[in-house]
Amino acid sequence: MNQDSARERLVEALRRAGQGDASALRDIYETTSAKLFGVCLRILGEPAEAEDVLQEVYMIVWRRAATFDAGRASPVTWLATIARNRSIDRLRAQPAGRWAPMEAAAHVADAAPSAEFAIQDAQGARRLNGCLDELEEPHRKAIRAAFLDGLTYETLARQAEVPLGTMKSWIRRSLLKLRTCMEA
Amino acid sequence: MSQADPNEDIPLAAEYVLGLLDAPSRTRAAERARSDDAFRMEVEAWERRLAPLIDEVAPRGPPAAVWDRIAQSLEHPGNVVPLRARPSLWNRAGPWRAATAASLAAAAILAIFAVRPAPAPPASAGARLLAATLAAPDGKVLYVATLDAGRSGVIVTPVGATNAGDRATELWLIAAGGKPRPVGLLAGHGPQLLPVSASLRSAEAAKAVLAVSLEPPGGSPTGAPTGPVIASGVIASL
Repeated sequence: MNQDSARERLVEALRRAGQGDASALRDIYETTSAKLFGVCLRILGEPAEAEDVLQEVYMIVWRRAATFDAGRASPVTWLATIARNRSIDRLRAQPAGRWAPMEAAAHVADAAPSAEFAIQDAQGARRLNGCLDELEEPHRKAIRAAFLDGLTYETLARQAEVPLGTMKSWIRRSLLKLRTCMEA
Repeated sequence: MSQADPNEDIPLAAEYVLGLLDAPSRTRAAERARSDDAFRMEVEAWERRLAPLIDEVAPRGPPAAVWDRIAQSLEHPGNVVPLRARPSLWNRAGPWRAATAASLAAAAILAIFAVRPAPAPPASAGARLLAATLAAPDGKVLYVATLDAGRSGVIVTPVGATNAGDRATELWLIAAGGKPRPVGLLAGHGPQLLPVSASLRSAEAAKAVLAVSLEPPGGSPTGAPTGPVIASGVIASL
């Protein structure tokens, strides 16, 4: 599907949902639920938890659709942000022993980006990847794992076998570099 | 509005977007993003910058039941239907059965009703205040809990002495027809605000059960209660 028209359709569906049209929410769900379920599942690990959070995500989309502003965010980024935030909220509310769904993450193999529901920002993706490539390998890995798997500083430090303070300074330094690089 | 310090706010916004903050800092950052325009813009900038990473996540079709639940919730606002009823899990949660056998019966009845959506409750139902007193098997009240829909959490106050030794005290919420869900570890002193997901603080939370069990330090390793229940109580609407 042409990406611009997919984006337009999603923006239009969000506008209709914002006016209380439930069939629009169904359209949004049809287009985006596989991607958003992938996001929830990757972070939460357990399918049952991910299904629960996915249900919550679309109820939030339904309530907040009227506040979506196509001038400020792409619809896909907006939806994915809600799915990530709800998943991470759920993860952080769990006791410490369940904070590292790495076993589960390994089960979900990465696939090539789906053309139908990609972030649709080729330029932004090139810039981000170019700037990530300028970071040192362990730092880049930590930032990806934090974003995609919802890992905490503690888990990241354990996995990289470095002290917590080291991981914090790696990530904070890398984030500032990333910002400078992407603003350039 | 708080005084913004760009040197601190830029990493904080990025850490929030990456999901690195612990629960209390995360809640504070989310509140700040709602009230502080400069901070919100920094958060949104990070969301935009990092968004292309989402393309790396493999899509996976959710089960059809998820949409069915969403559709039911749309028809009956305030009546969030629990996704799953798994009575079999109760058989594995031995210590639970004694403490909450009566509530299990109630939950089973509610689970039957959940198959067909109940009539829509009044529109204000979602904003009700819910509370529970959590008592030990001997009737002594050990905790008072209040679910505040507006604050997205449950406030738990210990009112009696508990002797947990070196074990952790963990709070669980058992919605009608559902399995015990971990809410969080209790600090054991003073009122404590624990985040609770929307589905749990919805109208369905009324008649659900809150319970505290003894767990290994750090909490139950399995995500289900493993130790004895020291206090429990049914949530009632105020």
